[in-house]
Amino acid sequence: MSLEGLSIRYYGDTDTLVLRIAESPGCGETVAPDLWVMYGRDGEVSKVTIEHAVKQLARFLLPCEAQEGKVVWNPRDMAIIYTPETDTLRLQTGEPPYTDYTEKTVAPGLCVNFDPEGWAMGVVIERAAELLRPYLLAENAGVA
Amino acid sequence: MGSDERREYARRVMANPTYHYTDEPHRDVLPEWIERAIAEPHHREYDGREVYYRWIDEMKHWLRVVVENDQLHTAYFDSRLDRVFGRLS
Repeated sequence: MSLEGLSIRYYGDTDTLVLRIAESPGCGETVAPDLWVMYGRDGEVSKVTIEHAVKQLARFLLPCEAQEGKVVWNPRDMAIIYTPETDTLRLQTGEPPYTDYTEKTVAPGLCVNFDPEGWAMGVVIERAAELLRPYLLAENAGVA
Repeated sequence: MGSDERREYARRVMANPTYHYTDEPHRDVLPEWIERAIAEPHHREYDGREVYYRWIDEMKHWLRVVVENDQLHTAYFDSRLDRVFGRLS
């Protein structure tokens, strides 16, 4: 699926969700064990990858019935903060309130924040449930 | 496991990638570097998956390789590892 420059793919074989903005040459940064970002040759964020996506996000983003029986995965070195009022999902490392971070919009509805040294510290996904539900519901169906 | 066995294991893993791995572009990561990382890692972790870290001289970067259930899952140069392990050249 492509949405305003953001291509979303879900891989059921590894429960991996990929938010791709541009082609990536293969240089990246592990933000947390289950969250990494890749950069293009221009230094801009080209891809955000969330591993164990359904295990981690289903309880936040899926309606109760749909998440029944889903395994809940304890996030590793990463806080997951979902605000239903704004349908905003934040995956964040570091300590709150995250005010020292510079937030950069890398695609419509997708922001990456960086610490003062320029290291990626987290991502913020707007319209998260609306965007990601179809993929999370399609788990084990291969690529959604 | 001896070095020959480790290389054989690395080749077996690389011959059995996940769909996620094959579908995502990895143009800058040569197979020989992945094999080197798995067979002769500088650092190794287990977090439910095998994670191998290897400094690649040719690229002056750390390569992070994740193997899950004996399948190659991800391989990419991870700049943050400079801060964790330091640069080796």
